[in-house]
Amino acid sequence: MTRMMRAAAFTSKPPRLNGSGPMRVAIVHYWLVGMRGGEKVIEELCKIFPEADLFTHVAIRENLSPRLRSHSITESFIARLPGGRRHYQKYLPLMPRALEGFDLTGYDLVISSEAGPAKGVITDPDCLHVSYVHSPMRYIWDQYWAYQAQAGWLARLAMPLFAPSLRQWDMASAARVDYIIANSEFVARRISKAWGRKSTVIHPPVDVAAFAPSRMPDPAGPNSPYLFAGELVSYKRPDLVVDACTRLGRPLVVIGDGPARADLERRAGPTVTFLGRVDFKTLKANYRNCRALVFPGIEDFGIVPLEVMMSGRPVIAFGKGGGDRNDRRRSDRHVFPRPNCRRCRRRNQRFRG
Amino acid sequence: MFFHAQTVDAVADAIKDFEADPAPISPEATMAWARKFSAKRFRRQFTGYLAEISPAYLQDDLRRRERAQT
Repeated sequence: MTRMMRAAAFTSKPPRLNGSGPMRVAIVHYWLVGMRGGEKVIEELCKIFPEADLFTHVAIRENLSPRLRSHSITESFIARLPGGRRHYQKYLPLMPRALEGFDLTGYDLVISSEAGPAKGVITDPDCLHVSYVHSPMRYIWDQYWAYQAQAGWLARLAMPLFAPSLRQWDMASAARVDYIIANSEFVARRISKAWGRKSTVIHPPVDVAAFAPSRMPDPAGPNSPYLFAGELVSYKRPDLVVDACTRLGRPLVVIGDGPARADLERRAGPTVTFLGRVDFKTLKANYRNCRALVFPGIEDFGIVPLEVMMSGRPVIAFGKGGGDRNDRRRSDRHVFPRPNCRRCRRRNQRFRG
Repeated sequence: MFFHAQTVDAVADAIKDFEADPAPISPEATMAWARKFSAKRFRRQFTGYLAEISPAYLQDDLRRRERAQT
C-alpha cells in the first residue's frame, strides 16, 4: 500500500484516540542506561515531543541527561528481575514478552527506537507506529558469529538455543510497525534482508557544535598519533589498527575500553598508547590533534568519524557499513577506494600530478 | 579514505598511502561534510517525514512541530 493510501486510511479516525486534547506520544527505547548514540536520538525526539512518555526495559536515571529524566519513564518487568538493572542483556529472551506487556492504549503516535528489542510493542489499530531503527539486532542477524565469539561460555551455549526463536519474533514484530526509518543506507539494506521491509533513511543527529578544529595551523604533524576511538570489542576490529600501527611503527592512541583490551595490550608494540575511557574534554583534544582516525569496523552509521571530521581531521575507514555512506560522496580528495584498485591509482596520479 | 578488506595489510597500505599524499588536509572540507548531519537537520527531517505519512488528524500538530525546527 502506498504512503498516501495508508495515510488516507487513517482519515476516518476521530480526532484523538484519547478524545480531544493534545496528541499523546509514546517513545519506546530498548534500554536507557547511558547517553550513547541511540539515547542522543531519543534526546532529539524529546525536543520535538516534550510531552512524550518514555517506555524502556531498564532506565538508569543518574546516567541520563536532565531532559530525558524530566520525562515520565516506564520500565518493563525486566528491571524488577534479579540483577535486571545491571545484567538486563542476559534477559534478552524475555524482552519480547516484556515489550508486549506495555499498555499503550490511547496513544496517537508511538515511536520505537530499535537496536535492542523495542518495536515489538502492541499498539492500537489506529495509532501511528513509526520505528527508528539503528539496526536490527546485530547479535541475532549478520553479526551473530562475531558476538558469539566474544561471549562468555554460558552465553555461547545459550545463543544457539534462543537465537532462532528471537529471529522469528523479530521478523513477525516488524509487521506491527507502520513505517520504518533506517539510520543509514547500510541499515536499510540490513532491514530489507532481515525483515523484508522497506525503509526511509534519516541519518541520526550529530552534535556538530560540540567539536571544532585546533587553532594551530598544523596541529597534526608527521609525529602525531593515529587514533582509534570506540568500544574495544571484536566486531569493531581494533586489532587491525593496533597490529598495523605496530608493524609500521606509527604512534597510535586507543580510546575506549572493553573485553578485547587485555588481548590488544598484549599484542601492541611500544608506539601504541591505551587511554581507556576518557572525559569529553580529553576526547575532543585527541580528535583535533590526531593525524587521522582509523575506523576499521562495520558500523551501523558511524558517529565518531563525523565528530573527528568536525574537528578538522581526516578519517581512514573500512568501506562498508554506515561510515561508507558518510564519506563516499565527499568531495574531499581523501575519499577513494582501496589503494591498489585502478580507480584509486588514477585518482592518486591526478592529485599528485 | 577507504580500505576495502578487513585485514592488517589493507589498513597498513591505507596508512602508507595516506601519508604518501603530500597535500594538506582541508579542515573546512571535513567540517562542511560533517555539518550535514546536525541535530537540527535530524529534527527537521524527522518531523517532515512524520507529517508526510501521518493521518490527517495528526498533521496540523506535526506540521507545527516541523515549522518549529526551521
